Amino acid sequence: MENLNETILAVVLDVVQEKSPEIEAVRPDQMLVEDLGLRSLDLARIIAKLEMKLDVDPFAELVAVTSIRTPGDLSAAYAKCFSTDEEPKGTGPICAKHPSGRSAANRTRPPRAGLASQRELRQKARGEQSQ
Amino acid sequence: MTAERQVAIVSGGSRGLGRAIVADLLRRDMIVAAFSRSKTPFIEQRLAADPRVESFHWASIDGADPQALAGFARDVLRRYGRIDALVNNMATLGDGLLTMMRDADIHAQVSMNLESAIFLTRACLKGMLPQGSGSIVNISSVNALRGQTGVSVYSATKAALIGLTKSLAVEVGPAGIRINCVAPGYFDSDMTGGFTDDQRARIARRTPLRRLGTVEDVANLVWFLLSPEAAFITAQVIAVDGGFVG
Repeated sequence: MENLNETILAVVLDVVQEKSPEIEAVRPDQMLVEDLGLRSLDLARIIAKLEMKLDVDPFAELVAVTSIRTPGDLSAAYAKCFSTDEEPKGTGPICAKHPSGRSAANRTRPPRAGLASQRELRQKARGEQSQ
Repeated sequence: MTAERQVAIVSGGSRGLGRAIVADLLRRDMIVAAFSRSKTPFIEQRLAADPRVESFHWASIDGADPQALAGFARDVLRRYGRIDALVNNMATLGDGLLTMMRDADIHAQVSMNLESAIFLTRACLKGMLPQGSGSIVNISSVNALRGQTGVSVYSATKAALIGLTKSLAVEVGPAGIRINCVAPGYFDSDMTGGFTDDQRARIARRTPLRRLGTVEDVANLVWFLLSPEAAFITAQVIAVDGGFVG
């Protein structure tokens, strides 16, 4: 779960720094709009980037995008998506999962503790695209 | 892998105007991904000329299926790593008086001409937004701009594309994505293939440039709007109709 969280934080930071280069890190509890200065189009960009990385779209059916206020909310939404891997058969899809030949496990890097630095997060955001 | 050349998706690229747009974009060294319900000789020829799918990708897609459209866009993204341009060209014309039209024909036109463009645009934006760039051209019609008997549903769907264009241009302009509309008038295509010589002559007489258009006339404008030459043009509707006066 930590690597998923860090991936999400890295993507959020990537978009935040396009508008506010002085921000070096983001926390899961920061408000995307009030604290980080993002607008709805920025959130759309974050979700598009995450869909390309993770091959899932939790907002297709499962989660209302209007409920997303913090990076932590994003993590919770994507965690719900990946939790369907363990769902018993017959429960039906709860988010749009895209066939890609990649597993959830190899889409993210090994877990790391703590708040990553700006460089680490940016490297993560870019490096994983080539996996 | 991300392709070095720009990638365009063209809906309904197997015949008529779509075929001309596909051929034109390939000629201009773009990678083109197109879909249609079935292969045509043009598609077979293009696929045979590019067995490694380096410049031309085609899939058999039901354009009325939103999941299939989203899957096609994702496949293009995986294959080439980018989507730079989208041409929403696919359309069906069911002519007839509205009161005489079957429910199924009305639904088919709304689905193919409008809903599919919305769903495909949404799918492609998911590739364009991370890039921070992109250009979309919606193929509307002069029937969206002026009244014409027998094409009310078709006109409604084509006018809706103009509304889509103008609002979405405002919505995604800050992300560097442009959206414009091309409104062709009467031009030689499958859709006008049933016109009599008299009908064609009457259209030409009411056209200041005294002829019907060609698919190349339209494809040239599509290319211009997709190209960097149109970098400061968005939310516009441009008619390609020879000045047709109705």
